[in-house]
Amino acid sequence: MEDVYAANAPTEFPAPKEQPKIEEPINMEEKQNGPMKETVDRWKKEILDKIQYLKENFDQASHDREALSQEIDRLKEELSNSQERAQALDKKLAETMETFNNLLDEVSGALRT
Amino acid sequence: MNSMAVFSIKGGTGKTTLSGSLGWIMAERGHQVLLIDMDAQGHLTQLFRGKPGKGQTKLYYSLIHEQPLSETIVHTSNPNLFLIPATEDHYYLNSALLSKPWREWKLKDALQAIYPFPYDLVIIDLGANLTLSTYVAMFAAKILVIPVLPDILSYLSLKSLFTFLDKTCKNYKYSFDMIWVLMNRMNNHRPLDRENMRALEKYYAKFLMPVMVREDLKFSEATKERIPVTSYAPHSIAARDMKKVADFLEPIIFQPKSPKPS
Repeated sequence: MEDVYAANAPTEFPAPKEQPKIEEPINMEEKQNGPMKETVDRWKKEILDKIQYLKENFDQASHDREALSQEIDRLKEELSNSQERAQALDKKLAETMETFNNLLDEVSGALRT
Repeated sequence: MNSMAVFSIKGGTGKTTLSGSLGWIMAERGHQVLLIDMDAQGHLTQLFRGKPGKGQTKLYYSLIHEQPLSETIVHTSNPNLFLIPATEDHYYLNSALLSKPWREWKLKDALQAIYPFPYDLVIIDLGANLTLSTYVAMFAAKILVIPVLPDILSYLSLKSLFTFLDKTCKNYKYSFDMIWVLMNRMNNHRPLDRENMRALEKYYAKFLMPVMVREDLKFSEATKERIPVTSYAPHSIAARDMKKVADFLEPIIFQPKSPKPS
């Protein structure tokens, strides 16, 4: 394949007046790797940015979960207290009803006599 | 007058895209840029939606009937970028030029007749053919940029072009200031592209631009939207490579000229 290029290499060149010399010969290796390195660096940056973004999201989610967990504990405690209060009130109501019934019985008895 | 022609014998090498993008970048950098669409297909004109106003002088009449070239210029969406659009008259330009004396220098003379000359850079976009218009455009340019693709046909046509340039410059005693070969649509992942690049480095070392433009679909998308790629996708490979080409050319085009010895 190289022969095609050699066989068709230019033999006549125009002579521009002010053609600057490229100071460093173009390094094929560098030229090949340059754009590739640039692409890899860009991908690397994109991936790191994504990881950072996900980490921030994860931290935020952990923080939210912690806050929710605390809220659930608080609500459970409040529910437990409320249940206890309800039981006490039930007991008090039962006692009151008993007293009321006793009173009614006494009143009825008194009326009959 | 800083003037640059973008030309290659082979079609589809990105001449118009390169002309338009470079013109746009240079204009964005504050230079007053005049684009001249010498390609009868008028793709550069379509890219910038440039159309001569009703009754406005066209390039044909300026070159053939010597009307002032400044009357052919239209504005673009960039205030620093101006365009001499291609019109259907371009198809008749070659035959009309035949009968004119000093025909090859018509554009150069017409540009030099604009006084004071308000443009920092003139970029001439040429079609992929060798006609009188080609000579007219090339002799108005001090810098020649030749975009090539990384394929064997481009490589072969480059040899033909260099032979043509050598003979033409000798015959007309004309000399460009600079000639640059620019590798376009390069894909480093393709072995054939790399092989082609190595051949250019070996046989065209003096003329090969030390930057290249990589293959990127953004060029096609931007062209479809008729927006320069640097505006359409500023962070794309296409835009970044085009800026690198501009970075390379800008200092050597606008370098302060050393005073001539008296």
